[in-house]
Amino acid sequence: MESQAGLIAIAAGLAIGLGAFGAAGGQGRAAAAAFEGIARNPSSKDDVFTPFLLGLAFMEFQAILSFIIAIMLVGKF
Amino acid sequence: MKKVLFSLLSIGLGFIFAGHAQAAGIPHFINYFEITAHQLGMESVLSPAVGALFVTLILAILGLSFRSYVNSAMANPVPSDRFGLVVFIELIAGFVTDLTKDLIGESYKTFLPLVGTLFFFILFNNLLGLVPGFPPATESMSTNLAMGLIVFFTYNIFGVKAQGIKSYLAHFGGPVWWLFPVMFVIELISHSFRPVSLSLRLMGNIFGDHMLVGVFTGLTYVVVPSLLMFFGLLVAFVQSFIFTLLSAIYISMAVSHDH
Repeated sequence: MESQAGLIAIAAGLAIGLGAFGAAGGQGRAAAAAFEGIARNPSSKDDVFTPFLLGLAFMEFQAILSFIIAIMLVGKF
Repeated sequence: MKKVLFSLLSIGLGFIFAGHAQAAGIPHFINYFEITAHQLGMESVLSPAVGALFVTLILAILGLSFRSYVNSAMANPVPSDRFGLVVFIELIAGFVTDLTKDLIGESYKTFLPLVGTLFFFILFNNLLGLVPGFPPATESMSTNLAMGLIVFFTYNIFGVKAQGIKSYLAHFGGPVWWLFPVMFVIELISHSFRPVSLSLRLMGNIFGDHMLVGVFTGLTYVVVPSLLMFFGLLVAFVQSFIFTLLSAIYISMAVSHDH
């Protein structure tokens, strides 16, 4: 029973850790591209902002899913 | 009158679902409110349904006072020179109106009450979450799922109304007729996942943010939680914006004629 609890703890940590890893990488790339675009053409700021935020939300959703899975795993203790 | 009824119906449905959440055994975690409430000597924190009720009361009072301000501004149209609550509401309302107009097009006035209500309701719920002792209703899955389902039914019903049932269903079918069985199933799954993803995104963000504040309050007590609460303020605005934006995009995709 104890080893199972330990495995669940490792699984929860891995779930949120790997989810955050992927989402952070994707969001970093999106932010880099958006800022580069704004730096090259400052007048495009308003047009870039909304799709940028939307893309961030879709990437963040994967991290949120892994967060929920981690929460459900922790709830199994 | 119809618009008012529509908005009231949306909020009422939210209440029913939020009340239902209490019965369901959702896993329970320490959060910021419970730590604060515990130190204030309160045994249990308020339920999300109470939070939703409180937000509705705030919104009703704000709406009525803003309405009376608009009435008086008709007689004397000089804008106020200081940044008060009225200017704040005007700013948000103008922002939501521009957003809806940009995305939906000429029929935006039909959907502005729904989209605006959603934005104000979610924003004030998220902001209420930053006040210790008050639970935000958006932290509960049931409130968010209710709002997601309202958006889902709205865009389906108005899509059928705008295009007719045959051409609306043709959207699900893909470009060639022999792909219809495959594409129909894929589109059906993707459409039915929309309200779930809308509500999960909002719930995960608000719940996660509050758990973060709660954990750091338990660890450090001072200074660090305030930084995280500033982050929470950002999350509150961005998440209500995202929910509204996605709802408006779904509605505009269903209502538009040109594809």
